[in-house]
Amino acid sequence: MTKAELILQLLSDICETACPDANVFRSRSASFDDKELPAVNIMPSTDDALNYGHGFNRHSFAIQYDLHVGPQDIPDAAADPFIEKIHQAWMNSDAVKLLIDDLQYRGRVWEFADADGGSTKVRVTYEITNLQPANQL
Amino acid sequence: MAFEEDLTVFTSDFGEPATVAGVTHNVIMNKPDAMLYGESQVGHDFVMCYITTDFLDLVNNVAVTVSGVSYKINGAPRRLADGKFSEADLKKA
Repeated sequence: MTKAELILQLLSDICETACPDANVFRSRSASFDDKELPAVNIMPSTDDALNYGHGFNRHSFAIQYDLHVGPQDIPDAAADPFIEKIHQAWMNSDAVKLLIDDLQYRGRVWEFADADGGSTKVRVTYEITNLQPANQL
Repeated sequence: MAFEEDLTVFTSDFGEPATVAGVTHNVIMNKPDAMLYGESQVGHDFVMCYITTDFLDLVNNVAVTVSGVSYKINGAPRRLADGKFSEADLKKA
């Protein structure tokens, strides 16, 4: 199993524990129904490796999750507590600190839609930095 | 001679009773689903089509009950074509 997969599994498990009232998915491509909301869909984005010398690569592994919330009167306000819980859980996890060198929040993008009231999809991006042997992914 | 229309024939067969502020008229309820965010989420729309003069004062957040289900007007209603019919988006209360 690659390091990327280990990281995604760990972050997904932490997310499930931190947000028991949300449905957490990995790389789901099928559409969500509002009965499944709130939903968190965690996905890898990119993995860039730079030669660090001495047989090591420095990986910049970008991951993102889409948080779907709705219908709500103020959907971004309803989404906010989930984003805060996930951020705190990931940043303060000892298991995460053991597995990776650095985890940084890289921003979020809101999209809004109107269907039976207000709905939002928030895409939140993180960057993981890891020094890994070149013969390991 | 002007053509006399009875618009209630359009809402009598498939219409459902809608009540606003104690006043009830038949409306046509449409409940189409819509794909949101580039097809990553299914949204459920509720759209009420009604004779404009039946409910002249509908604005955002007004309560309406259709076939016993409570909704609120979601956004501004809009007139259709010659204005004799209007549509209003609803959200469940």
